[in-house]
Amino acid sequence: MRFLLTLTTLILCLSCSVYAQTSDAERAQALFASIRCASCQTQTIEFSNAQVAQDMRAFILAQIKQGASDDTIRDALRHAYGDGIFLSPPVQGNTYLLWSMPLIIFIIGFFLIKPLYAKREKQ
Amino acid sequence: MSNYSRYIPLGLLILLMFIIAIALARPLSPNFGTSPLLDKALPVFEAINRDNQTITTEDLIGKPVIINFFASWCTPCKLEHPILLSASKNKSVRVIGIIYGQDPNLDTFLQENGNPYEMILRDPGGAIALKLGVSGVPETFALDGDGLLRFHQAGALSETSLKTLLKNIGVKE
Repeated sequence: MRFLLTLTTLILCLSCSVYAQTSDAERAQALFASIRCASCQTQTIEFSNAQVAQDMRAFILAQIKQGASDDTIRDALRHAYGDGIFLSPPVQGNTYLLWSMPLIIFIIGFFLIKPLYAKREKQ
Repeated sequence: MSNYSRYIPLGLLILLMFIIAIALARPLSPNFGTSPLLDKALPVFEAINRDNQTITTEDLIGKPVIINFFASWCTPCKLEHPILLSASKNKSVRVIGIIYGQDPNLDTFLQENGNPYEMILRDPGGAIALKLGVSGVPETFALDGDGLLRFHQAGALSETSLKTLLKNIGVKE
């Protein structure tokens, strides 16, 4: 029991330290991968050569260097470009329907399939 | 379950597919639709003009103004240039150009096509462009006399869009 407790604590400490050591480059990379290129749309700014993507990457790196948090950087871009600049739409009032769509489709599918099974059981 | 009620889920699924199809069929505009800055004050920025003077946001407020991001290498910018030239003849509105990125051929471009701009600002690192949510060139914004952003268009201006622009900022043609 004591061994398990020590092992769990050790794993937790290690994972916390790994999280704390997330470098600026890793933060920038994660942000690049989550932001849509404003002029090409189907790409993230991570791999786009468009002028605006290059400028966004430079902006993000400069902001990180100045000590800005990820949320601050995201807010600055959201303010100018809107939520569409993010690949993953934020969970908020106007996106509840979007995020609940898998569940809605699952429920509809369940009620579509249920009668088929009921029919089969009767037979 | 009655004969009809068992078709309700199927009906809902078809309705859902229909809604998704309509949503996907909407044309994607270069800047994801309406600018979130519309009807808001112009974001604060500083820029250098071609005479190396510092221009601030406050210098642009007080009279209706058209802010046009452009570049000499951009073909749609050439297409909309006559529209900007005609707008510049209207004394009730100022036309300000912002060069997005580096543009060594700017002088030649203006000599060949005319200069509609009262002032040209430089934005080599795209700092102003990012504050205004610019996706590329050409892109045009217009402010009314109170400094509120009343018009935004990504892509070349047309005569029709210029009419809308002037109407939005309260300027008679």
